[in-house]
Amino acid sequence: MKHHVLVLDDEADVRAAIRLQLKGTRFEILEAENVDQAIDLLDDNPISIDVIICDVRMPGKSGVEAVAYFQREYPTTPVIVLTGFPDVTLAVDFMKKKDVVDYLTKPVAKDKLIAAVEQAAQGRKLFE
Amino acid sequence: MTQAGDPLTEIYQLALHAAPSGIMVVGDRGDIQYVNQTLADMFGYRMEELLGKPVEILLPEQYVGAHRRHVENYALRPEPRPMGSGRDLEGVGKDGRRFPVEIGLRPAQTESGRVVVATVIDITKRKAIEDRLHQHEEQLEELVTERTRELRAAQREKERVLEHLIQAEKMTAVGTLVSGIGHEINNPLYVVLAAAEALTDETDIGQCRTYGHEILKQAKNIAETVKNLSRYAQPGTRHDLQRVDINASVAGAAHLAQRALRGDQIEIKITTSPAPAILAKPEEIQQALFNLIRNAIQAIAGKGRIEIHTAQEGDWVTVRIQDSGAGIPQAHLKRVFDPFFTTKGPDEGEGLGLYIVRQIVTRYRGTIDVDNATGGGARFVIRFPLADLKNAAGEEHS
Repeated sequence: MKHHVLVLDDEADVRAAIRLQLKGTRFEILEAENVDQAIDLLDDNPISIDVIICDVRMPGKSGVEAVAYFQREYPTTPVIVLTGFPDVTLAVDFMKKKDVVDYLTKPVAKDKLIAAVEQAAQGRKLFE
Repeated sequence: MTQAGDPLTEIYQLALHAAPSGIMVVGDRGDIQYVNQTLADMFGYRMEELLGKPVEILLPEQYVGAHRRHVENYALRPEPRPMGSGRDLEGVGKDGRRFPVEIGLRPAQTESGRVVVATVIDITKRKAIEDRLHQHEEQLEELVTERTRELRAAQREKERVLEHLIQAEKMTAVGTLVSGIGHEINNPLYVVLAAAEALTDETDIGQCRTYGHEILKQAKNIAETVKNLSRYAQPGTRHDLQRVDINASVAGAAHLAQRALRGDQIEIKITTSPAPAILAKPEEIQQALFNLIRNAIQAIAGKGRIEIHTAQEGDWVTVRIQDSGAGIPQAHLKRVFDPFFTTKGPDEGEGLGLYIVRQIVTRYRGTIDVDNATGGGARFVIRFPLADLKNAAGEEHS
């Protein structure tokens, strides 16, 4: 059975890289280049998204706003932050509030990303 | 010379004795012919004790020889000599006490021959006051010297601290840049990593080439970012002035500032005109431009627009940077380039950003002006002389 991962990142190259790393796994990728697009995807099809991978620094609404929205509207959908702008304070803040299940920094290795997504997806299953 | 009994003579005598100066008449051979009471008192003699005596008894011994020669010379060319013509003279009293005097001389012809009328003033008190004054002057001079030294030391200390703070400000800016630019490097680096991972598992040559091209493209991105960053972050490492393309500097600084300072909601519109090169250290020009753009981004605080316009105007290359912020209050316009002038919070820098810009601009004989645009935002204009006009300035700057 296919699982769905929503990738929210403003850079197409990065979305492509995530897609490349998750190629051949059981995860199917949906892409959003900004927060509004991601929200639309979730709202249109809430059940099928198993994991969200979310960037932090983006034009317009930031990843912080996005995470808050996901937490409010889809509290059972696990969020993995994947950022190129590591910020310890932000990471601690996310973890404390349990808004995200993992905090990864770019560049992340394929194995690590797959493991994180797998773990997040299983966590969701347990949670439900 | 005096005749008792003549009433007029008596009056003259009284007047002479009452005079505040010592008066004496000395004959051709240096013999004292007359002294008034004041002079006798001054030297501690009775008047009659001095009459007929050589005038040298009133002089300290070491002056006697010299005095004789003076007398002879004076006799050859007698002319009035005013009081206090500059020489420090001394008299010696009957008790051997030496005291400073001022002497005026006037030659006169009498029936009994040529004489010299000498007026003598005891200037002990005046000398003492003068000496004290002199002492005070010296003390004052010493104080002034010392105070000047202290002020110079304070000035040097101030300059040292300022230099230190400027360096700290640069390092803070570099720190902001480095963490901001991390994003700029980590994103392409991630793409490189993913492509390289895929490459190792790929057997299809065509797909391998695609990954290879992707890696190449992203690696070039990283290299470009690092080049821009190092241009900013290593001020002073290159000592040669170079021909700097202002348009390239503007593009580099804008790229850095927008990416590193979360300027995502700010549109930077750059309009360039072909401008001849200026002669400068490229990293310093980039730093000046970066600071101005950073300032504009901070002034906008949110969504907005920065317009940068380059042009050649006569012998100058100009860069105008205008933001859509609230502008600078009239009262602050004159002060924005002052060191430590800031309207930002304590965590947002020392207020040295624009000061550094002005330092850099003036170092290259350029000018910087600021006003508020009609639309409301601040407008900074910097002008640099063209490279080909300022060889002399370039040589001075080492």
